[in-house]
Amino acid sequence: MVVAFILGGASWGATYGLGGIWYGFACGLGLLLLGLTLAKPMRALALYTVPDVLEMRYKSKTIRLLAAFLSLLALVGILGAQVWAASAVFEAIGLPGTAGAVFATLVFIAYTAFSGLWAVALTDFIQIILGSIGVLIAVVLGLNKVGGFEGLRASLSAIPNLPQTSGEYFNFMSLGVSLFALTLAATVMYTLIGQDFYQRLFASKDEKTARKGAIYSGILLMVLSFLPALAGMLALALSRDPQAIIDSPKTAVPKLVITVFGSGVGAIFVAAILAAVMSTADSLLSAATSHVVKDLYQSFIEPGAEDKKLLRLSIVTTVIIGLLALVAALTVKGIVELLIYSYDIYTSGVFVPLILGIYWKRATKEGALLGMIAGSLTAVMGITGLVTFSYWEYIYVSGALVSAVVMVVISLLTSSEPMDKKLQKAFEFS
Amino acid sequence: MSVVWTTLVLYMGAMLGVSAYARKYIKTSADFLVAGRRLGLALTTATLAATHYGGGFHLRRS
Repeated sequence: MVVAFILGGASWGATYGLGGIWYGFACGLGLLLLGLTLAKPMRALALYTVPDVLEMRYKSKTIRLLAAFLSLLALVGILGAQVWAASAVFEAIGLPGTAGAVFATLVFIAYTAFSGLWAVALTDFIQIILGSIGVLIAVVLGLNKVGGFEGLRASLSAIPNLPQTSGEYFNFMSLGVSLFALTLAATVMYTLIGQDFYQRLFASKDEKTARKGAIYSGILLMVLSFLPALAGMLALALSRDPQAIIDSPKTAVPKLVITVFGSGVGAIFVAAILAAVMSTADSLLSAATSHVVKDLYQSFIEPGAEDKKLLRLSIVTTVIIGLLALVAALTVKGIVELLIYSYDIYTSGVFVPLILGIYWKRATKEGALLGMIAGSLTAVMGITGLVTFSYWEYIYVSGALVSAVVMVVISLLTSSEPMDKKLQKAFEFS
Repeated sequence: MSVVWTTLVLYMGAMLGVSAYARKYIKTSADFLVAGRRLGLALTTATLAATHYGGGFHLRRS
């Protein structure tokens, strides 16, 4: 499961109805918890990346390299998925998907390469407003057109082949307790360790801003989470071809927009959805660049590199990674799918070594490394089907449990080193 | 369809324009990678939320 608020939430809305709000809610909850726990102390470290933090904690370059490698693969894979998302948006409104995706991708590569995280943050600000207002207006006008909630209920009950009974569309727990709990757990886990989030915390002007920013953004997404779910339901109810949305729920929002507004006015809202896609894509791209420059180049190849060189390398890396993701997404679909699995491996392998390492003084580098490997291998077993899980999200929880057990046992068998002073101070250990 | 393209070109142009404006802040690699650690509350909040906002999904999964 890859986290994505608007299109993901809408796709869940078309499938689970109001139960789809948990998708977006989980994104918000993750950020809120990040704000309440790690945001402030992590910002105090003033580093660049999550693998940076791991090296500081365990004084191990191997751990840093492994974490950076998994995260980098995952970020590039999810970036490829954003290219698909852009393509789906263009296709849903009857434009050539590939040409549209290339256009949108080249634009976000260009603005990210030109001004880095400054461009990303400023465009994010505009994009999130454009995206939210666009979807809000689409939902309000859609509800108006369908005849309010009663009309929505009536329209849904008239559709054959729904993935669940039409009454279930108004049940917040329609997705079942297991999927609900696992969705929250998986999304929160990634949000607490994702480089794309930490890079932004490190970029905030001080610790207080990091903490508040994470809390506010979490609350914002939790409050907005009903929008994509409703958009998905409305798209289904208003479509002339609901079966197409049932078969491919990710096209729900663009379809809603075209149904409600026609292709003329709908253009503004298509821009809004593209804005949402690009606001995530640029985040992934800038996060991937930070791994290459800080965790691979500066850490392993040339520690004493001049800053001018690092800046040039950052720009070049941004362009290369962006183009690689674009080409991979358009030509070898299987590679992007494989890369996205690294997201599952990263989340399963890195969560416990990072979080437990911070809160448990006795953790050792041997424990963390073997815990990371054990968690990652558990994910690999789930992905390859050696172990079967009833829900995909079990992979994260199982991986975390296995890595926790291994990490605790090995840590107790090995001797711990004194923790870094700065780390100790940031997290206020005695 | 020309309305759609006009809107999209305007939007994309605006994003590129913002980036061109932001260029004056980019002097060091820290400016590029972590915005010189100078993001205020509004930008920090927006960029954190936006990271979760987009369109990633996995075809074979929920």
